[in-house]
Amino acid sequence: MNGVDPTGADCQDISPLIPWYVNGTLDAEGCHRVDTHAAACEFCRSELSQDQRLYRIMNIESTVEFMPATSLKRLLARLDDGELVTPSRVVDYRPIERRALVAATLVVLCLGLGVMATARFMRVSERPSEALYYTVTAPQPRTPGAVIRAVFAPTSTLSDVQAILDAAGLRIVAGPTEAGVYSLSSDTRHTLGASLGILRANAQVRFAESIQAAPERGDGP
Amino acid sequence: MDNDRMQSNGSPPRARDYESVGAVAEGSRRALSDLYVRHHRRLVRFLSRFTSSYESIEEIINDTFMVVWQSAKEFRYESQVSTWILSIAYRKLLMALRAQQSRPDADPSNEHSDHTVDPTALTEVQDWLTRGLSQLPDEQRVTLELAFHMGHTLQEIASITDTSVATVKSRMFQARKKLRYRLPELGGGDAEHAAGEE
Repeated sequence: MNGVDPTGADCQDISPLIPWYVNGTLDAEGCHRVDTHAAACEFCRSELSQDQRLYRIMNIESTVEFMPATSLKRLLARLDDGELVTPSRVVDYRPIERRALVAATLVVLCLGLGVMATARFMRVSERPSEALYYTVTAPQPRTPGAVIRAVFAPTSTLSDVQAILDAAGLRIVAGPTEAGVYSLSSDTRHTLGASLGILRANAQVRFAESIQAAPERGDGP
Repeated sequence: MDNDRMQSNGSPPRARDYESVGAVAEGSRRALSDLYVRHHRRLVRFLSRFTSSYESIEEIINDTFMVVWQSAKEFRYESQVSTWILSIAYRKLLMALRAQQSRPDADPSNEHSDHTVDPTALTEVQDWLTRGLSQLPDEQRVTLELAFHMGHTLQEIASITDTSVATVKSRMFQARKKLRYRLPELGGGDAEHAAGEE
Protein backbone atom coordinates (compact mmCIF):
# COMPACT_ATOMS: atom_id res chain seq x y z
CA MET A 1 0.00 0.00 0.00
CA ASN A 2 1.19 3.44 -0.85
CA GLY A 3 -0.92 5.21 1.72
CA VAL A 4 -2.99 4.30 4.72
CA ASP A 5 -6.72 3.61 4.40
CA PRO A 6 -8.29 6.08 6.83
CA THR A 7 -11.07 3.60 7.57
CA GLY A 8 -8.51 0.96 8.59
CA ALA A 9 -9.92 -1.52 6.05
CA ASP A 10 -7.66 -4.36 5.02
CA CYS A 11 -7.14 -5.55 1.44
CA GLN A 12 -8.68 -8.88 2.44
CA ASP A 13 -11.88 -7.01 3.36
CA ILE A 14 -12.00 -4.95 0.19
CA SER A 15 -10.84 -7.37 -2.51
CA PRO A 16 -14.00 -9.56 -2.32
CA LEU A 17 -16.14 -6.45 -2.85
CA ILE A 18 -14.42 -5.35 -6.04
CA PRO A 19 -16.29 -7.59 -8.57
CA TRP A 20 -19.65 -6.33 -7.25
CA TYR A 21 -18.40 -2.74 -7.31
CA VAL A 22 -17.43 -3.23 -10.95
CA ASN A 23 -20.73 -4.81 -12.03
CA GLY A 24 -22.72 -2.09 -10.29
CA THR A 25 -24.52 -4.23 -7.73
CA LEU A 26 -22.60 -3.23 -4.59
CA ASP A 27 -24.52 -1.02 -2.17
CA ALA A 28 -23.56 2.58 -1.49
CA GLU A 29 -21.73 1.81 1.73
CA GLY A 30 -19.66 -0.89 0.05
CA CYS A 31 -18.86 1.41 -2.86
CA HIS A 32 -17.67 4.07 -0.45
CA ARG A 33 -15.39 1.56 1.29
CA VAL A 34 -13.90 0.45 -2.02
CA ASP A 35 -13.39 4.04 -3.22
CA THR A 36 -11.73 5.07 0.03
CA HIS A 37 -9.46 2.06 0.26
CA ALA A 38 -8.47 2.05 -3.45
CA ALA A 39 -7.44 5.69 -3.16
CA ALA A 40 -4.84 4.64 -0.61
CA CYS A 41 -3.88 1.15 -1.80
CA GLU A 42 -2.03 0.53 -5.04
CA PHE A 43 -2.62 -3.24 -4.95
CA CYS A 44 -6.39 -2.89 -4.71
CA ARG A 45 -6.35 -0.09 -7.26
CA SER A 46 -4.62 -2.50 -9.64
CA GLU A 47 -7.18 -5.24 -8.92
CA LEU A 48 -9.98 -2.79 -9.53
CA SER A 49 -8.46 -1.71 -12.82
CA GLN A 50 -8.06 -5.33 -13.98
CA ASP A 51 -11.65 -6.19 -13.12
CA GLN A 52 -12.92 -3.09 -14.87
CA ARG A 53 -10.97 -4.07 -17.99
CA LEU A 54 -12.32 -7.63 -17.78
CA TYR A 55 -15.86 -6.29 -17.36
CA ARG A 56 -15.50 -4.00 -20.34
CA ILE A 57 -14.26 -6.78 -22.63
CA MET A 58 -16.90 -9.26 -21.47
CA ASN A 59 -19.60 -6.76 -22.36
CA ILE A 60 -18.59 -6.08 -25.94
CA GLU A 61 -21.91 -7.01 -27.48
CA SER A 62 -22.21 -9.63 -30.17
CA THR A 63 -24.00 -8.40 -33.28
CA VAL A 64 -25.84 -11.69 -33.72
CA GLU A 65 -29.35 -12.13 -32.40
CA PHE A 66 -31.80 -14.98 -32.73
CA MET A 67 -35.53 -14.71 -33.20
CA PRO A 68 -37.49 -16.94 -30.83
CA ALA A 69 -40.43 -17.85 -33.06
CA THR A 70 -38.96 -20.94 -34.73
CA SER A 71 -37.50 -22.30 -31.50
CA LEU A 72 -40.80 -21.74 -29.74
CA LYS A 73 -42.62 -23.80 -32.35
CA ARG A 74 -40.24 -26.68 -31.72
CA LEU A 75 -40.85 -26.42 -27.99
CA LEU A 76 -44.60 -26.49 -28.47
CA ALA A 77 -44.22 -29.48 -30.78
CA ARG A 78 -42.43 -31.30 -27.97
CA LEU A 79 -45.36 -30.57 -25.70
CA ASP A 80 -47.66 -31.96 -28.39
CA ASP A 81 -45.64 -35.16 -28.35
CA GLY A 82 -46.29 -35.48 -24.63
CA GLU A 83 -42.60 -35.50 -23.85
CA LEU A 84 -41.72 -35.95 -20.18
CA VAL A 85 -38.84 -34.08 -18.66
CA THR A 86 -35.92 -36.20 -17.48
CA PRO A 87 -34.78 -35.28 -13.98
CA SER A 88 -32.32 -32.42 -14.10
CA ARG A 89 -30.58 -33.51 -10.95
CA VAL A 90 -28.32 -36.55 -10.81
CA VAL A 91 -29.68 -39.17 -8.45
CA ASP A 92 -27.58 -41.87 -6.82
CA TYR A 93 -29.19 -45.25 -7.34
CA ARG A 94 -28.25 -47.98 -4.91
CA PRO A 95 -28.06 -51.51 -6.31
CA ILE A 96 -31.40 -53.34 -6.01
CA GLU A 97 -32.52 -56.83 -6.80
CA ARG A 98 -33.35 -57.61 -10.41
CA ARG A 99 -36.99 -58.51 -9.72
CA ALA A 100 -37.58 -55.32 -7.78
CA LEU A 101 -36.00 -53.35 -10.64
CA VAL A 102 -38.32 -54.96 -13.21
CA ALA A 103 -41.34 -54.29 -11.00
CA ALA A 104 -40.34 -50.66 -10.47
CA THR A 105 -39.82 -50.20 -14.22
CA LEU A 106 -43.30 -51.56 -14.95
CA VAL A 107 -44.85 -49.18 -12.40
CA VAL A 108 -43.06 -46.19 -13.95
CA LEU A 109 -44.17 -47.21 -17.44
CA CYS A 110 -47.80 -47.51 -16.33
CA LEU A 111 -47.65 -44.14 -14.63
CA GLY A 112 -46.11 -42.59 -17.72
CA LEU A 113 -48.84 -43.99 -19.95
CA GLY A 114 -51.42 -42.63 -17.55
CA VAL A 115 -49.88 -39.16 -17.61
CA MET A 116 -49.77 -39.15 -21.41
CA ALA A 117 -53.42 -40.21 -21.62
CA THR A 118 -54.39 -37.48 -19.17
CA ALA A 119 -52.41 -34.87 -21.07
CA ARG A 120 -54.13 -35.88 -24.29
CA PHE A 121 -57.55 -35.65 -22.60
CA MET A 122 -56.72 -32.21 -21.22
CA ARG A 123 -55.63 -31.00 -24.65
CA VAL A 124 -58.94 -32.13 -26.14
CA SER A 125 -60.94 -30.37 -23.44
CA GLU A 126 -58.86 -27.19 -23.61
CA ARG A 127 -60.90 -24.07 -24.27
CA PRO A 128 -60.77 -22.85 -27.86
CA SER A 129 -59.38 -19.54 -26.64
CA GLU A 130 -56.19 -21.43 -25.63
CA ALA A 131 -55.61 -22.32 -29.29
CA LEU A 132 -52.06 -23.47 -29.86
CA TYR A 133 -51.60 -21.64 -33.11
CA TYR A 134 -53.41 -18.90 -34.86
CA THR A 135 -52.96 -17.54 -38.34
CA VAL A 136 -51.44 -14.18 -39.07
CA THR A 137 -54.79 -12.83 -40.17
CA ALA A 138 -56.63 -14.02 -37.09
CA PRO A 139 -58.12 -11.13 -35.14
CA GLN A 140 -55.79 -9.82 -32.48
CA PRO A 141 -56.15 -6.92 -30.12
CA ARG A 142 -55.17 -3.73 -31.98
CA THR A 143 -52.03 -2.08 -30.67
CA PRO A 144 -52.43 1.72 -30.62
CA GLY A 145 -50.55 3.28 -33.50
CA ALA A 146 -49.92 0.00 -35.32
CA VAL A 147 -50.55 0.23 -39.07
CA ILE A 148 -48.75 -2.83 -40.48
CA ARG A 149 -48.28 -6.46 -39.44
CA ALA A 150 -45.17 -8.24 -40.65
CA VAL A 151 -43.33 -11.53 -40.30
CA PHE A 152 -39.58 -11.76 -40.89
CA ALA A 153 -37.51 -14.74 -41.98
CA PRO A 154 -36.36 -16.85 -39.00
CA THR A 155 -32.74 -16.30 -40.01
CA SER A 156 -33.08 -12.53 -39.77
CA THR A 157 -30.97 -10.89 -37.13
CA LEU A 158 -32.20 -7.90 -35.14
CA SER A 159 -29.75 -5.76 -37.09
CA ASP A 160 -31.32 -6.93 -40.36
CA VAL A 161 -34.81 -6.21 -39.07
CA GLN A 162 -33.81 -2.77 -37.81
CA ALA A 163 -32.27 -1.88 -41.18
CA ILE A 164 -35.42 -2.97 -43.01
CA LEU A 165 -37.63 -0.98 -40.65
CA ASP A 166 -35.42 2.11 -40.94
CA ALA A 167 -35.65 1.97 -44.73
CA ALA A 168 -39.44 1.62 -44.59
CA GLY A 169 -39.94 4.33 -41.97
CA LEU A 170 -41.44 1.88 -39.49
CA ARG A 171 -40.83 0.80 -35.92
CA ILE A 172 -41.97 -2.09 -33.75
CA VAL A 173 -44.73 -1.34 -31.27
CA ALA A 174 -45.67 -4.94 -30.35
CA GLY A 175 -44.59 -8.51 -30.90
CA PRO A 176 -43.39 -10.92 -31.78
CA THR A 177 -46.43 -13.09 -31.18
CA GLU A 178 -46.30 -16.88 -31.06
CA ALA A 179 -46.55 -16.86 -34.86
CA GLY A 180 -43.68 -14.36 -35.14
CA VAL A 181 -45.91 -11.42 -36.07
CA TYR A 182 -44.75 -7.88 -35.34
CA SER A 183 -47.04 -4.85 -35.18
CA LEU A 184 -45.43 -1.79 -36.73
CA SER A 185 -46.16 1.92 -36.57
CA SER A 186 -45.11 4.51 -39.14
CA ASP A 187 -42.94 7.59 -38.68
CA THR A 188 -44.87 9.13 -41.64
CA ARG A 189 -41.75 9.52 -43.81
CA HIS A 190 -43.45 7.25 -46.32
CA THR A 191 -47.06 6.58 -47.21
CA LEU A 192 -48.50 3.32 -45.97
CA GLY A 193 -48.36 1.88 -49.47
CA ALA A 194 -44.72 2.88 -49.90
CA SER A 195 -43.75 1.30 -46.57
CA LEU A 196 -45.53 -1.90 -47.51
CA GLY A 197 -43.78 -1.89 -50.88
CA ILE A 198 -40.36 -1.53 -49.24
CA LEU A 199 -41.13 -4.41 -46.88
CA ARG A 200 -42.46 -6.70 -49.59
CA ALA A 201 -39.47 -6.01 -51.82
CA ASN A 202 -37.13 -7.37 -49.15
CA ALA A 203 -36.49 -11.13 -49.27
CA GLN A 204 -36.25 -11.29 -45.48
CA VAL A 205 -39.84 -10.15 -45.07
CA ARG A 206 -42.05 -13.21 -45.31
CA PHE A 207 -45.31 -11.38 -44.91
CA ALA A 208 -46.55 -7.79 -44.62
CA GLU A 209 -50.08 -6.47 -44.56
CA SER A 210 -51.80 -3.27 -43.68
CA ILE A 211 -53.77 -3.56 -40.45
CA GLN A 212 -56.07 -0.80 -41.57
CA ALA A 213 -56.88 -2.76 -44.76
CA ALA A 214 -57.76 -5.94 -42.82
CA PRO A 215 -61.51 -6.40 -42.56
CA GLU A 216 -63.00 -6.12 -39.11
CA ARG A 217 -63.90 -9.51 -37.69
CA GLY A 218 -65.75 -10.70 -34.67
CA ASP A 219 -64.26 -12.57 -31.77
CA GLY A 220 -61.39 -14.87 -32.58
CA PRO A 221 -61.37 -18.64 -32.41
CA MET B 1 -29.92 -3.32 -20.52
CA ASP B 2 -32.73 -5.33 -18.83
CA ASN B 3 -34.57 -6.96 -21.69
CA ASP B 4 -37.70 -7.43 -19.63
CA ARG B 5 -37.92 -3.70 -19.00
CA MET B 6 -37.53 -2.92 -22.69
CA GLN B 7 -40.38 -5.27 -23.61
CA SER B 8 -42.70 -4.29 -20.82
CA ASN B 9 -46.26 -3.31 -21.80
CA GLY B 10 -46.47 -0.99 -18.86
CA SER B 11 -47.00 -3.48 -16.04
CA PRO B 12 -43.97 -4.27 -13.88
CA PRO B 13 -41.99 -7.12 -15.46
CA ARG B 14 -41.88 -9.07 -12.20
CA ALA B 15 -45.67 -8.95 -11.87
CA ARG B 16 -46.10 -10.02 -15.48
CA ASP B 17 -43.73 -12.93 -14.95
CA TYR B 18 -45.55 -14.02 -11.81
CA GLU B 19 -48.86 -13.92 -13.67
CA SER B 20 -47.39 -15.96 -16.49
CA VAL B 21 -45.95 -18.62 -14.20
CA GLY B 22 -49.29 -18.89 -12.43
CA ALA B 23 -51.01 -19.39 -15.77
CA VAL B 24 -48.41 -21.95 -16.87
CA ALA B 25 -49.09 -23.86 -13.68
CA GLU B 26 -52.73 -23.98 -14.78
CA GLY B 27 -51.70 -25.41 -18.14
CA SER B 28 -51.65 -22.30 -20.32
CA ARG B 29 -49.43 -22.69 -23.36
CA ARG B 30 -50.01 -19.07 -24.28
CA ALA B 31 -48.49 -18.03 -20.96
CA LEU B 32 -45.57 -20.40 -21.54
CA SER B 33 -45.04 -18.82 -24.96
CA ASP B 34 -45.15 -15.33 -23.43
CA LEU B 35 -42.50 -16.32 -20.90
CA TYR B 36 -40.42 -17.90 -23.63
CA VAL B 37 -40.43 -14.81 -25.82
CA ARG B 38 -39.74 -12.48 -22.88
CA HIS B 39 -36.74 -14.47 -21.63
CA HIS B 40 -35.36 -15.90 -24.87
CA ARG B 41 -32.94 -13.11 -25.67
CA ARG B 42 -31.47 -13.07 -22.18
CA LEU B 43 -30.93 -16.82 -22.24
CA VAL B 44 -29.31 -16.68 -25.68
CA ARG B 45 -27.06 -13.91 -24.38
CA PHE B 46 -25.94 -16.09 -21.47
CA LEU B 47 -25.64 -19.43 -23.28
CA SER B 48 -23.83 -18.01 -26.31
CA ARG B 49 -20.91 -17.28 -23.97
CA PHE B 50 -20.36 -21.05 -23.74
CA THR B 51 -21.20 -22.42 -27.17
CA SER B 52 -21.22 -21.09 -30.70
CA SER B 53 -23.80 -23.62 -31.87
CA TYR B 54 -27.32 -22.29 -32.14
CA GLU B 55 -28.65 -25.84 -32.10
CA SER B 56 -27.08 -26.38 -28.69
CA ILE B 57 -28.37 -23.06 -27.42
CA GLU B 58 -31.88 -23.77 -28.67
CA GLU B 59 -31.82 -27.26 -27.18
CA ILE B 60 -30.79 -25.95 -23.76
CA ILE B 61 -33.41 -23.20 -23.86
CA ASN B 62 -36.15 -25.60 -24.90
CA ASP B 63 -35.08 -28.17 -22.29
CA THR B 64 -35.24 -25.34 -19.77
CA PHE B 65 -38.77 -24.40 -20.71
CA MET B 66 -39.85 -28.03 -20.63
CA VAL B 67 -38.83 -27.97 -16.98
CA VAL B 68 -40.63 -24.64 -16.52
CA TRP B 69 -43.76 -26.22 -18.01
CA GLN B 70 -43.64 -29.22 -15.71
CA SER B 71 -42.54 -27.52 -12.52
CA ALA B 72 -44.39 -24.19 -12.60
CA LYS B 73 -46.64 -25.42 -9.79
CA GLU B 74 -43.61 -25.78 -7.55
CA PHE B 75 -42.37 -22.23 -8.12
CA ARG B 76 -42.17 -20.36 -4.84
CA TYR B 77 -42.84 -16.70 -5.37
CA GLU B 78 -39.84 -15.75 -3.24
CA SER B 79 -37.46 -15.02 -6.10
CA GLN B 80 -37.70 -13.49 -9.51
CA VAL B 81 -38.94 -15.70 -12.31
CA SER B 82 -35.91 -14.66 -14.37
CA THR B 83 -33.59 -16.00 -11.67
CA TRP B 84 -35.57 -19.25 -11.48
CA ILE B 85 -35.48 -19.78 -15.24
CA LEU B 86 -31.78 -18.97 -15.36
CA SER B 87 -31.11 -21.48 -12.57
CA ILE B 88 -32.77 -24.20 -14.64
CA ALA B 89 -30.81 -23.13 -17.72
CA TYR B 90 -27.62 -23.17 -15.65
CA ARG B 91 -28.17 -26.84 -14.70
CA LYS B 92 -28.99 -27.74 -18.29
CA LEU B 93 -25.86 -25.89 -19.44
CA LEU B 94 -23.64 -27.78 -16.98
CA MET B 95 -25.09 -31.08 -18.16
CA ALA B 96 -24.43 -30.10 -21.77
CA LEU B 97 -20.87 -28.99 -21.02
CA ARG B 98 -20.12 -32.22 -19.18
CA ALA B 99 -21.62 -34.29 -21.99
CA GLN B 100 -19.45 -32.39 -24.43
CA GLN B 101 -16.34 -32.98 -22.33
CA SER B 102 -17.04 -36.70 -22.29
CA ARG B 103 -16.85 -36.59 -26.10
CA PRO B 104 -13.42 -35.03 -26.67
CA ASP B 105 -13.75 -35.33 -30.45
CA ALA B 106 -16.97 -33.37 -30.58
CA ASP B 107 -16.63 -29.70 -31.38
CA PRO B 108 -19.96 -27.89 -31.16
CA SER B 109 -18.62 -25.03 -33.26
CA ASN B 110 -18.32 -27.48 -36.16
CA GLU B 111 -21.86 -28.78 -35.90
CA HIS B 112 -23.71 -28.38 -39.14
CA SER B 113 -26.04 -25.50 -38.67
CA ASP B 114 -27.55 -22.60 -40.52
CA HIS B 115 -27.58 -20.66 -37.28
CA THR B 116 -24.21 -20.19 -35.65
CA VAL B 117 -22.57 -17.27 -34.00
CA ASP B 118 -20.44 -15.71 -36.70
CA PRO B 119 -16.84 -16.15 -35.46
CA THR B 120 -15.75 -13.10 -37.39
CA ALA B 121 -18.17 -11.06 -35.30
CA LEU B 122 -15.95 -11.66 -32.27
CA THR B 123 -13.27 -9.09 -31.82
CA GLU B 124 -9.69 -10.14 -31.38
CA VAL B 125 -9.73 -9.15 -27.75
CA GLN B 126 -12.91 -11.14 -27.08
CA ASP B 127 -11.28 -14.17 -28.68
CA TRP B 128 -8.22 -13.71 -26.48
CA LEU B 129 -10.36 -13.49 -23.37
CA THR B 130 -12.56 -16.41 -24.41
CA ARG B 131 -9.48 -18.61 -24.64
CA GLY B 132 -8.54 -17.61 -21.12
CA LEU B 133 -12.07 -18.14 -19.78
CA SER B 134 -12.30 -21.57 -21.40
CA GLN B 135 -9.49 -22.77 -19.13
CA LEU B 136 -11.48 -22.07 -15.99
CA PRO B 137 -13.58 -24.79 -14.32
CA ASP B 138 -17.20 -24.52 -15.46
CA GLU B 139 -18.59 -23.32 -12.13
CA GLN B 140 -15.97 -20.57 -11.84
CA ARG B 141 -16.53 -19.40 -15.39
CA VAL B 142 -20.30 -19.37 -14.94
CA THR B 143 -19.92 -17.30 -11.78
CA LEU B 144 -17.82 -14.75 -13.65
CA GLU B 145 -20.24 -14.64 -16.60
CA LEU B 146 -23.29 -14.25 -14.36
CA ALA B 147 -21.60 -11.39 -12.51
CA PHE B 148 -19.84 -9.50 -15.29
CA HIS B 149 -21.81 -10.34 -18.42
CA MET B 150 -25.29 -10.78 -16.98
CA GLY B 151 -24.98 -8.27 -14.12
CA HIS B 152 -26.34 -10.42 -11.29
CA THR B 153 -25.79 -9.78 -7.60
CA LEU B 154 -23.90 -12.12 -5.30
CA GLN B 155 -27.16 -13.37 -3.77
CA GLU B 156 -28.79 -13.92 -7.18
CA ILE B 157 -25.84 -15.99 -8.36
CA ALA B 158 -26.03 -18.09 -5.21
CA SER B 159 -29.70 -18.68 -5.96
CA ILE B 160 -29.12 -19.45 -9.65
CA THR B 161 -26.31 -21.89 -8.93
CA ASP B 162 -28.01 -23.34 -5.85
CA THR B 163 -25.02 -22.69 -3.63
CA SER B 164 -24.12 -20.47 -0.72
CA VAL B 165 -22.94 -16.88 -0.92
CA ALA B 166 -19.62 -18.06 0.52
CA THR B 167 -19.21 -20.55 -2.33
CA VAL B 168 -19.92 -17.88 -4.93
CA LYS B 169 -17.34 -15.59 -3.30
CA SER B 170 -14.81 -18.40 -3.34
CA ARG B 171 -15.47 -19.24 -7.00
CA MET B 172 -15.19 -15.57 -7.95
CA PHE B 173 -11.92 -15.25 -6.05
CA GLN B 174 -10.46 -18.34 -7.73
CA ALA B 175 -11.66 -17.30 -11.20
CA ARG B 176 -10.15 -13.81 -10.96
CA LYS B 177 -6.92 -15.19 -9.56
CA LYS B 178 -6.55 -17.74 -12.36
CA LEU B 179 -7.35 -15.22 -15.06
CA ARG B 180 -4.75 -12.79 -13.71
CA TYR B 181 -2.23 -15.64 -13.84
CA ARG B 182 -3.19 -16.90 -17.31
CA LEU B 183 -3.84 -13.50 -18.85
CA PRO B 184 -1.24 -11.25 -17.26
CA GLU B 185 -1.93 -8.67 -19.96
CA LEU B 186 -5.18 -7.95 -18.14
CA GLY B 187 -3.11 -6.17 -15.57
CA GLY B 188 -1.62 -3.39 -17.65
CA GLY B 189 -1.28 -1.45 -20.86
CA ASP B 190 0.16 -4.56 -22.53
CA ALA B 191 -3.38 -5.96 -22.55
CA GLU B 192 -4.43 -3.51 -25.24
CA HIS B 193 -1.33 -4.27 -27.33
CA ALA B 194 -1.48 -8.02 -26.85
CA ALA B 195 -5.14 -8.32 -27.75
CA GLY B 196 -5.40 -5.60 -30.34
CA GLU B 197 -7.89 -3.67 -28.27
CA GLU B 198 -8.34 -0.02 -29.31
